Amino acid sequence: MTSAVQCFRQSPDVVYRRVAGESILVPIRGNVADMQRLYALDGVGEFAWQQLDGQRSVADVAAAIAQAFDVDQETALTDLVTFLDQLLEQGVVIGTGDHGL
Amino acid sequence: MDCDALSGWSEDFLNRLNSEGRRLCIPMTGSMALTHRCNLRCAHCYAGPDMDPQSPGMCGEPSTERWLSLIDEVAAAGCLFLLLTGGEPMVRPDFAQIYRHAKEAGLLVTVFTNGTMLTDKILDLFDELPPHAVEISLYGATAATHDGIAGIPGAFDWSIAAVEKLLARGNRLRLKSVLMKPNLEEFPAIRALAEETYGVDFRMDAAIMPRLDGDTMPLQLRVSPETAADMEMSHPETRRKWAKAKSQSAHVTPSPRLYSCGAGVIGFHIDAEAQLLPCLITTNVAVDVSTKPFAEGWSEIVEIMAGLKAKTGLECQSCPHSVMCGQCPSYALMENGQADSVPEYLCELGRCRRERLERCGD
Repeated sequence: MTSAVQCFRQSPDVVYRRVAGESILVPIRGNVADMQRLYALDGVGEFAWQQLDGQRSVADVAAAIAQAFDVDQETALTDLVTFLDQLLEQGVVIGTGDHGL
Repeated sequence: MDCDALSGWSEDFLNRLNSEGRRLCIPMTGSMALTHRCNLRCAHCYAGPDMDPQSPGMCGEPSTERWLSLIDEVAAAGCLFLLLTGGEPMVRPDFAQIYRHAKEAGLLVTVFTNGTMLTDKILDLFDELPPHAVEISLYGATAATHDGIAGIPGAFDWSIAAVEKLLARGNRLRLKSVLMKPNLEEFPAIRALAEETYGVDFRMDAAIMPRLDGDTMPLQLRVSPETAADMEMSHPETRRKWAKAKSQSAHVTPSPRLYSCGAGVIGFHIDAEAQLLPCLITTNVAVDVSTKPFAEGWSEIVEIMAGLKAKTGLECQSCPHSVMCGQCPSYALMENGQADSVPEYLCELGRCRRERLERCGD
């Protein structure tokens, strides 16, 4: 499971698009089944996605979410971990190690 | 925070995209005819017969750089679904470069090809960056029939080889055919070849159009609307599709617009001479985007199409059965020389579809 000190970056196998007000991740590489799938992000998900630069830790991103969306940090962290676990499972983010290591 | 993995294209999501796209006139779904050149000489082709594949680029065919920049521009404008077609798009030596660029721009790319020029290099590219779908036309279940229509001996064997290579490498392939007099007897076998032998989706079309240059010769190949409807209804999946359309006929609201489809609202086509059109066959509304930015051209197309109103009293506008015929003003224009007129063949085909469904109680 994702931990607060881990860092993630966006996979080059998906392209982020904004189309008709929707935030979408479009898989471009992978198996054919992946090509029949899109990932829609809500507003917080889109914000989190844009923070995934491989440098910032999960805790850093959760803090940014808490500030931007006026939620407490603990809730932001719990939700972000769930979100990242989903993205990891789908292979659209890549772990880059623990922050500061 | 949520990430909805939209496996299998959630209908709800697509409806939301479609309605927002229509409201804001976002060019979400488009096609690019990379070339008019083709190595086949299909008897019914709307593009015409004089498309030498050896020609280095017929008059006005955009350069590689212009196609790449057009792809960037359509993506920036909100295009999500892009069809690469021709002519035969693989005639262009830069097909792979254009395809790769479209994929890397985050477009869902479908390729229409006859398959005869499919190389190992392109197959490798499809392995790396899989297409949303590839569609190949089979005009016969035998080489004699297919090649007779395609005009080139060996075409069937090449296309079948492409089908098998694409499937062997796991590509999402669809097959299709045009029903016409020369393949009428063989048509069930073509469908069986697609669905049973290869296990892929198959779709048919009987509405052969005049050529874009006005030549009506392909119309001689049409089967009667009665025959076309019989063939459609003999196929359970096609019949279900039309039964569903028929059940929705009562809910169609007449539109004051001449074009009530997505052309020039969410749909566009860029032809092989860089003319931006509302759709592939609406050639009388065109903006040259060989140098003009796509976004500017699109704004012009949207405005022109919104200004085209149906003439008062045009039967198609108030016809409760218009979903059954695929009514299309551009088809009427090509057939009758007038966009606001009834395209008789389609109208009759729609009537035959209704009649056959009603006869069976659907």
